[in-house]
Amino acid sequence: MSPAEFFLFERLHGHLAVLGLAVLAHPILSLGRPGLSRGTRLSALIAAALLSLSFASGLWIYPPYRALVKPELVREALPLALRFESKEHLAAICLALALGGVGVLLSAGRHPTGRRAARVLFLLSFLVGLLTGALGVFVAAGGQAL
Amino acid sequence: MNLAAAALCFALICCLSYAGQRLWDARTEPAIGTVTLQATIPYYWRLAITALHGLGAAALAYWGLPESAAERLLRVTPWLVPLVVLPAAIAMLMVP
Repeated sequence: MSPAEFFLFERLHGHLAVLGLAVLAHPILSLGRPGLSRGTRLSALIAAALLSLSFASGLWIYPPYRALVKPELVREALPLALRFESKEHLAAICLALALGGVGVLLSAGRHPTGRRAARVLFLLSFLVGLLTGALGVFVAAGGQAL
Repeated sequence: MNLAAAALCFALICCLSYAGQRLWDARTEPAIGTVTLQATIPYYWRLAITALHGLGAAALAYWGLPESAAERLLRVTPWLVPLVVLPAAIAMLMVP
């Protein structure tokens, strides 16, 4: 992968994640109301799909990151490289929670207990995702300044 | 309810497994920047093992958990999930 392709996919990866998080806000809000609408199920599915796509694209560009960016980042700005590692760990947690939330919602969304459980999973996924995104922006901004 | 409990177990065990593996690796791995070439990518291995643990736990919950226990598990989710996820997330920030 050329550096130009890497930076293109890196941006795509970030935009997909932001979109996924934005869509995830819908089921978090709508699950606070009684009942389960088709829109809630759909938005939860779309959010999980977008976050999965973002995660998959992150996995795809990880080897070029290690070859193109990481050595310089470690040499010139070690705290940024460490924050990047934290971001990768948090992204894995965010995705696991979102997928678990979709599973709970689709299988037990008709019961109030299931809806409450799905909402908690989505909420924590959203919070961990926000932290992941903030770290991503922090690392990208710092990396560009190098 | 068993399918929902399986999905919940998948999420929780994935979080625990990933954080546990990372913390375990951090005890013995060389400092960042000291290794210039690796034959494998530890992150990929960690994710693969995490997925295996998560799917295993989901299968156990789906086939092994009585319906009443699955329902009880879902009922305690509002405090159980933050109890597992928040320490794991904080640990991942403290141990990059």
